[in-house]
Amino acid sequence: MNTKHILRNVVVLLAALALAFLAGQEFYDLQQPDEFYTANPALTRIAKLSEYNPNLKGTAGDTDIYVFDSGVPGGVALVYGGTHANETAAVMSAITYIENVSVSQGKLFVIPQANLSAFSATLPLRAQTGHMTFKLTDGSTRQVRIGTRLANPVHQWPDPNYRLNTSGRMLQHGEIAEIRNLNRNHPGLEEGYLVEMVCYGIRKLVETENVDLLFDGHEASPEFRAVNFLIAHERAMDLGSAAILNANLDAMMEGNMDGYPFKLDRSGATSWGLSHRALGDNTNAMATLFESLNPVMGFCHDKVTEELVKDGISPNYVKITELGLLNSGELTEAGSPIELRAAYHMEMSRHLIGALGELYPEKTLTISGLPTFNDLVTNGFEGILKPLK
Amino acid sequence: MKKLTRLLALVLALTALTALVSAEAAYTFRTSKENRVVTENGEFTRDMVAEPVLITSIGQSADVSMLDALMKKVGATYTFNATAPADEVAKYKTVIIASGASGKGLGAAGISEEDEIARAEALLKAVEENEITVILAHIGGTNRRGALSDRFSDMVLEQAKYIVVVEEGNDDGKFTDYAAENEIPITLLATIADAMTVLKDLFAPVAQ
Repeated sequence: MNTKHILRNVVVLLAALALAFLAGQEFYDLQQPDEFYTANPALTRIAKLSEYNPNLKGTAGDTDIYVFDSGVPGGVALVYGGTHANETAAVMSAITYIENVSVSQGKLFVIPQANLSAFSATLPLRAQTGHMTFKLTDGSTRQVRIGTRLANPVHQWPDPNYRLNTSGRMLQHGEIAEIRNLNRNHPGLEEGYLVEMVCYGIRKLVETENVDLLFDGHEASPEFRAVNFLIAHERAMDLGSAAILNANLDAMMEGNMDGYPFKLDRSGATSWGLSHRALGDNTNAMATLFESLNPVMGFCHDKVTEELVKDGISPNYVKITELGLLNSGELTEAGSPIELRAAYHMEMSRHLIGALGELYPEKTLTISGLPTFNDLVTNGFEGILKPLK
Repeated sequence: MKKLTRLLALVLALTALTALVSAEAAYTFRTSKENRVVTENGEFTRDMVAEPVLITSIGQSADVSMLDALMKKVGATYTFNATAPADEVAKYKTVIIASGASGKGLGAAGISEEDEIARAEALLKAVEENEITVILAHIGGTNRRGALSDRFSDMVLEQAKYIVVVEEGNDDGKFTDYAAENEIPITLLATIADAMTVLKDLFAPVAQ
């Protein structure tokens, strides 16, 4: 081999290494944990899910649980986001709770990244951004990862060919990857696939802490018929209807005469493995799930840039809406911004917590300190998130 | 050429007529930000309802739970049974029926479409035989329209003495047209929360 050939090979090798380094940098960044503001004086402690399922210790599924314990007997609620790590409004809503909430009666648990592993990767071939960045009023920035709806295959692999999971859901063929979907595997297994063990941890948390109300935050595509719906287990229907009604009455009192677009639906009898069905059936908690409208979740989404994630402005879906092809998640040029989506999550969960005490006085959970709907929509996360240092 | 001109004129005339007819058929919303509750075809007043009062569903949608929350909020005295059978319904003087189908709701209640239709038929027969006052509440908007939901609503309409509709669910004039043809009072609501106004007038306890 002459010097010319060797030189050419070295150049090609160096170019390949440079490309691998650049691509690897992005992947490496996604492995770094998000930093949250933890100086809220109401925060009692940060627990680990492995306290409820020790098999999670040291794994990528051992997520943080933020505990707000008033020390006064009352209701107990679990509010969580990040079941699907690309459903960003639910994550931001949970973060807003962590930074601002104060509890004067009862106990509140908040999990911002329920499927922690899913935050460490994006879906292949979607060219999806991996972070959201917010520039705060003091000039500092806050960054939160955007992952995917399934756990990272690096942490749970291979997917089996067939799995009859604990909920009775049969995973096979095209649905088999759902073994890495947190919202298909409740109530989970103490020792099983990583996601099954995370589900089991959540179940044990609900059982051990006597959780009365469970709120699982999600986002839906414009094609989904139940956009802005609260899905409630049959034991939570009273709670859900009272919460929606109270939210709308409050909105009208504040001058928003159109109220909120919230609607109620009952958990499907065959929604096996989903939190509202499986945790409602297998624990004493009143299980609910809420879906806000995010064009990123749809089949016809535009390129998943940070702008699309944050502003929710999708020219594709505006066209589809104008053609009259949508039944539920219509989108205009105003988009579906993350502040609005997260504000819907916060209103819904806040009113569920309020309704808990209204319908069951012995389960009163009194919270305060959260930004109002108008605060969030007007100031955005740039004005709401707290600087880290 | 003359024939072509005549044909063209005919096509134009037909197009104009079609546009006129469809413009007439298009539904105009009656409620607005300022006018949130609109009643047509007369009034339905407190003296027209008698106790005891039952709330039930035909179609098993979650709207019946919303109706339950609304009635609780106004402090009404009533019984709630989403799947009340005909013999139970017969014991009441006034029945408020939340109409609209939900596959999930039927599934969760363990009821098939056919079973629900049979229950509805028996229930409405009991209503007619016992001269029970029926109030139809369609409060789920466009999500409670469609073939099966409309089938349930149509069954209730036949016995309804009063109709309450969140106007979004009347965007084709279905309920207002029926009410006008049959001279039944109908109240249109801008949002579901506006039902408080109507239910308060009819069912809230009267201060002694």
